[in-house]
Amino acid sequence: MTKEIDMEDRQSLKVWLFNPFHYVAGGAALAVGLPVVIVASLNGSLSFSHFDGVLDFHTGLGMPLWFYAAECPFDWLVMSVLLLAAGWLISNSRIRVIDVFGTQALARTPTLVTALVAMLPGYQRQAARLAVFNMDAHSPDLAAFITVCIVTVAMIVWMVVLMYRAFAVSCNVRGGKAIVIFVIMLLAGEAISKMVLMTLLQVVVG
Amino acid sequence: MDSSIKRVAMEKKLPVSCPSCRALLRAKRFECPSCNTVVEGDFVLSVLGRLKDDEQVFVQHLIKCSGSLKDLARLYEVSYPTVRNRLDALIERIQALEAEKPEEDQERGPA
Repeated sequence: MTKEIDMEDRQSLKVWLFNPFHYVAGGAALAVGLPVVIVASLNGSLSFSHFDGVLDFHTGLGMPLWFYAAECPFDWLVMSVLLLAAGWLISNSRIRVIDVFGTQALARTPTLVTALVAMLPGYQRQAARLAVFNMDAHSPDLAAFITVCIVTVAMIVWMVVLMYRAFAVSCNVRGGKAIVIFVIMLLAGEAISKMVLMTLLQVVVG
Repeated sequence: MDSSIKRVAMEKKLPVSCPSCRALLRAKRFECPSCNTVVEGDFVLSVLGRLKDDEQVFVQHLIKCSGSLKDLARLYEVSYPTVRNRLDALIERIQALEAEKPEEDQERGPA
């Protein structure tokens, strides 16, 4: 089997972790990524976790199930549409819509890890204490809380790296221009998803 | 294994650029391995001939896949956009090679 393409990108853990789109894109990425997005979103209802923004993660507020179910898919749709538009704007390559949507779905895999670790009972108890301003620093649950916070930050960083790599591969863009437009779209995506989800919640729940 | 045998068995690659100054090389001499007839001159390599080995192999595979990037992606075991990006890079490289076509070659006109 021929392996001349990017020999430095040999199948390795590093490539699979930070640029799986070298191997998986399009329909295959969507087939893996979309269930992950939906499961992470629904899992939020068990751990009271919210992804109410492209980069956001919060716990604590009980919401209707439809709101949990809508959060992650909405974040994914917003970022995919924005990055597709960005790709059309700056790339000279022929971009397939399925590649952008598929790779962006797969790039949101870290949210599943975040949603799962947020289920830790120690974290849940400590989060509940903090919600009522109980600042018990000697709580045995504090370690679980700090661990989940560290994991969450790491997962968000990992997700942003994956989202950028997905954008770079699916739209064939690289360099400073690609990074600048990605950051702009990320901030726009965060603002749009946050505003729309909050507005939707106000309209439905009142 | 004897080193000379090893050298013979090893597939020789056509050098495309000068190892010293990186300028494009030209062919000066061709020899028929059958009757030893020698043709000497100043031959400019074709654009495809000036591509790197891996790029030439990529073009060969693309033709063998009837131009299907999906089949090519399957062959290389990478994603479709990875292959398409590689093709885009190759198109840019071919355009650059065409742009640096030597003057004498242009004067001669198309072969």
